[in-house]
Amino acid sequence: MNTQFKKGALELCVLSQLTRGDKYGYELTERISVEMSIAGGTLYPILRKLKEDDYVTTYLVESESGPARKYYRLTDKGRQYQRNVQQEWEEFIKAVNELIWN
Amino acid sequence: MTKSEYMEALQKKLECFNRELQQEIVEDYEQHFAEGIAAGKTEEEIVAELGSIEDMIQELSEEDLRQNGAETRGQKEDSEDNVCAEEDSQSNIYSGEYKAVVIDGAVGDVNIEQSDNGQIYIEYQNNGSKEYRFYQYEEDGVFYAGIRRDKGASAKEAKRAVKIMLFGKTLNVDLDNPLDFGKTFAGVWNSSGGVTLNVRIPAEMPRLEVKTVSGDINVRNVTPEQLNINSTSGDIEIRHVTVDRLRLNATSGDITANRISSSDVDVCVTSGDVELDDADVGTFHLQTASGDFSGNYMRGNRMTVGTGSGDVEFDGCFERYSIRTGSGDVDLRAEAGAKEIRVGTGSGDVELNLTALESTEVTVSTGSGEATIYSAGDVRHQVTRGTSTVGSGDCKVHVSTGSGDAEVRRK
Repeated sequence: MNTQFKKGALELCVLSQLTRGDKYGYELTERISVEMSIAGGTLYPILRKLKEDDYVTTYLVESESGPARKYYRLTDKGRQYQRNVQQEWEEFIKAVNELIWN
Repeated sequence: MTKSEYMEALQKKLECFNRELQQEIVEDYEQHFAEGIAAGKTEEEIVAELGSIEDMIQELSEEDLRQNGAETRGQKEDSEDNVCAEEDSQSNIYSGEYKAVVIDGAVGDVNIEQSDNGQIYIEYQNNGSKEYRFYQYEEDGVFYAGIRRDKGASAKEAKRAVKIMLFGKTLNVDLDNPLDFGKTFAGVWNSSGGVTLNVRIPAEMPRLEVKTVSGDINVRNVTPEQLNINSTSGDIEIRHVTVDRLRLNATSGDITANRISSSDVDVCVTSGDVELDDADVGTFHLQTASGDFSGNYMRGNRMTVGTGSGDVEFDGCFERYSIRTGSGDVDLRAEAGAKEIRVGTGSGDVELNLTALESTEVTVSTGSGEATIYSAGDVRHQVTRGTSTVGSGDCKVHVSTGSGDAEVRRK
C-alpha cells in the first residue's frame, strides 16, 4: 500500500481503535498490522502528539511481560476530534471515488 | 539486527530532540520489545515490525526538535501548567479478586462509578494540597485506597527528599529540584487546591465502603452487594445504585439519593438534610436529629423514620409506615396498598393524605401539634379525637392530640 496514504490515515486508525477501549502501544500496532503493513515504531510519535494535544491521556499498568504498560485513553476532546476526522475522511473518500468512477 | 543494535541506533537518531522525548520514545520501544518477546517473537522479528527509525523520526514534530535542554525549561516555567506546576496526579489500575473495596477520601472528593471490566481504576488529582498524599494497599483480600495526611510534609526536613511508592517501585524525589523528576511527582508539595479521587470498581464487587471527612462523595451506576457510605461534613450523592444493603451516614453533610434499588436501606444523619427520589426498597429506616427528610416516589414494605426537630415530607407506596418526630412537622402522602400508618409527633404538626385506602389502620398522635387527615373517601363518622371510619369502612383512623386541633375530612 502506498505509504503516503497510510501516513495520513494512521492517526484516524489509532483514534478509531481507541474509541473501542483503552489500549497500549503494542496492542495498537498489532491490531493495525492485521489490516496493513506499517512500521510499528511510527505509532509512538503519533500517540505522543495525540497526548500533547489532549486527545488522549495515558496511565501505567503493571505487566508481567516487563516494564509497565502505558495505556492510552481517549478524552472527550479526542472523541470529538475522532468524529470530525472520520467525517472528513468519509467525505474525502467519497470525492475520490466520484473522480475515479465518473 | 539485534535489539541492542537497534536501540543504539534509535538513541543516536534521537539525540537532537529534547531529553523528555528521547526518554519517552526509548521507553515505548523497550515496552514494545518486552511485549513482543513475551508473545514469543525473536528480536529480529520485532525489529522488522518496528520498521525504519527514519520513518518514525519523520512523524516527530518540529516542536519537539526545537525544544531542547535549557531552552525548554525556560519556556515552560512561564506557563501555568508546566513541569513546576503545583499539581499531582496519577492513574492506576489494579486487577485481582477482592471481597471489598474501601475508599477513604478524607478531605478530598470521591467519585465512584462502575468499570467496564473486572479492574479497579483510580485517578488521583491533587491541585496543591501539599500535606495530603494518595495511598493504596491490600489486606486480607480487601482493597484499600485513599488520601491521608502526609506526616512529613510540614516538617522542614521533608523539604529535601521524599520517597514515593508507585507501581511497586520506590522513587526518590528531590524536592529542591522536582523538575528533574517530571510533572507527575513534582506536585505533592504544594499549597491550596482540591484533592479528588475518581474511582471505577467492577460490577460484581461484594462490598464497597466510601468515607470522607470534608470531601463530597458521588456514587453512581454501581451494583455492589453492600454499599456503606460515611461522611462528616461532606455531601453524599448517589444515583442509579442497585445493592442488597445500603448504609448512609453523615453528620452535617446532606444526602441526596436518586433511583435506588435495595432490599434494606439505613440512613443516619445528624444535622444534614436527606432527599430521596425514586427508590425501590424493602425496608427503609432513617434517623435524623435536626435534619429534614424528603422522600418522593418511594416504594417498599416497611418504612421507619425518626427525627428530632427535622421535618418529614414523604410520598410513597409502602405497606407499613412509622414516623416519629419531636418538633418536626410531618407531611405524608400514602398511596394505595398501605396496611398500617403510625405517625407521632411532640409539637410537630401532622398532615396526612390518604388515597385509595381499603383496609388501612391509621394512628396519629401529637402533643401540641395539629393533625389534619385528608381522605379520598367519605368520612362516615367525623371526630376530632378518637376513631373515625373512612372510605369503605375497613379503614380506621385513630387520632389523639394533646392540645393540638385534630380534623379528619374528605379532600
